[in-house]
Amino acid sequence: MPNNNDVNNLILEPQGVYLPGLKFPSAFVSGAGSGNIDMYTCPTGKRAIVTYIIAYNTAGTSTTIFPNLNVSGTYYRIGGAAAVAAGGNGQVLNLSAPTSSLIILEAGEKIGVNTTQAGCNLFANIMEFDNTAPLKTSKVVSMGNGNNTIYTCPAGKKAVILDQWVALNLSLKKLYYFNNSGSSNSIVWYAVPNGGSTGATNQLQTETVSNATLSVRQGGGWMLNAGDFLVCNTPIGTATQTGWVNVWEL
Amino acid sequence: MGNNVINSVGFISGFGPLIRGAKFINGFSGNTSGTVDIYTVPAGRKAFISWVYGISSPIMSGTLNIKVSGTYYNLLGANAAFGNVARLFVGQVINAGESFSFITGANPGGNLWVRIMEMDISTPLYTGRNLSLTSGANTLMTVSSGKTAMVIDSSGGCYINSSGGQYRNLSGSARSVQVYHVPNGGSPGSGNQFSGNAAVANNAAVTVSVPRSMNSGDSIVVNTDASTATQWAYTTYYEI
Repeated sequence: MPNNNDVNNLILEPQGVYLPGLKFPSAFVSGAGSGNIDMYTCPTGKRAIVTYIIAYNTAGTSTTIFPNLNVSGTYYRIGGAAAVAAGGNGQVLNLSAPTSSLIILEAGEKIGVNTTQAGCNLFANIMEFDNTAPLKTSKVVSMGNGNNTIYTCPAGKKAVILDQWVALNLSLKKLYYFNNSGSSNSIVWYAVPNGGSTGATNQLQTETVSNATLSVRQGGGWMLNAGDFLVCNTPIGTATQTGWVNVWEL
Repeated sequence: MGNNVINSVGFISGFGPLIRGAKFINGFSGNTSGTVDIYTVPAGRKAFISWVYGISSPIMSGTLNIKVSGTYYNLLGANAAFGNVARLFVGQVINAGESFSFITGANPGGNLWVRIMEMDISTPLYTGRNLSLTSGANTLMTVSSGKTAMVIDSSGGCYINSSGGQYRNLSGSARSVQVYHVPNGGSPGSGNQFSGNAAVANNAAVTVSVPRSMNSGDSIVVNTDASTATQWAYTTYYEI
């Protein structure tokens, strides 16, 4: 509920997730070098929604950028690539195919890009808030062969999966998987009731995902009860596969 | 403020700040003709203008304008058609005493509806603007001390990918425009350039990309190549 300090808080759409301690910190990097570039680190006690990264290329050579999540010093690619012409802009994490991707960072995690050429000015949309808010990304950054539990609704809670626009629209996409394994994979998503196991009766989505490609699947408008869980099944054990969902728990 | 949530707060689409003293105003102009000040912001208030809807037959055309101290600033450049429930997004906060206006072109007589959220001036939602750009660097907004800011997008939220600023060129000839995100204490240059040389034709009103999340003291600067007075630019942002 709003309180006397409401000017420092935020409402999320008519659904109304309250985000305490909100800030919009800059993630600006001037004249970035090539390779993996960290743009922003989520501080202790905070989470941060990252919805948009844009580059302006000051160099005379075109470059290609894609978004990276840095967890404990390891970079995980989480989105499609954008070409950035000399003297032009390119966008990733921009909520539109094929580069759409939405993720919420936990404390210590970093967002950034990989760029093939040096000379980009990098900017991002960051919404940083206290980690007491009931909004988070549940992620498995290094998936194994077979079933990977991406999210389990905690005891005493119910959860809804947010769509690609951080809202609850039934027709928008909600299930994220990035395939950086080197080969095409056929994945299967399940929403498994508490105490159950994956099977045809709780299967959500299937998709064959090319290498270096983001899969964002619709997955319906379902809610999860305590103990219900989401599974992404992948046929290979190559570690460079990342799956995640953005959840609101109440 | 307090527990009287319904009467004291509101929000705009997508992410949005709590809007203090929110009221939804129907800015209606029936049988529109000539120059019409559809809505004027009362003292002690400001207002977020989101969409304008129009219907007419034959199709009425005209321009949307912000009226500041008696001067009309054209939002569109050229006349736009308002027929068969046409709609245009505005995305600006206007201040006490300022008006949202329509100047009719062809086929007067249409009906217009303006979606307005009126609020207390303490609400941290602002439009930074420069109504008379000069040659060189023009600062649209600077984040207040101790605050951070997020530019809202063309749907009124702050997470959808689209640009959050507008530049209007009514100078009589084409202009070249650049945008910079200048960190606190810095100055505009290639190291903080955000968008390249946008060639803007005369009478055009273009959307330019602007930076998003910003720290205290950061600024958005627009550079234009001439001082002709009829150029203006704005960006709308939350500050927390």
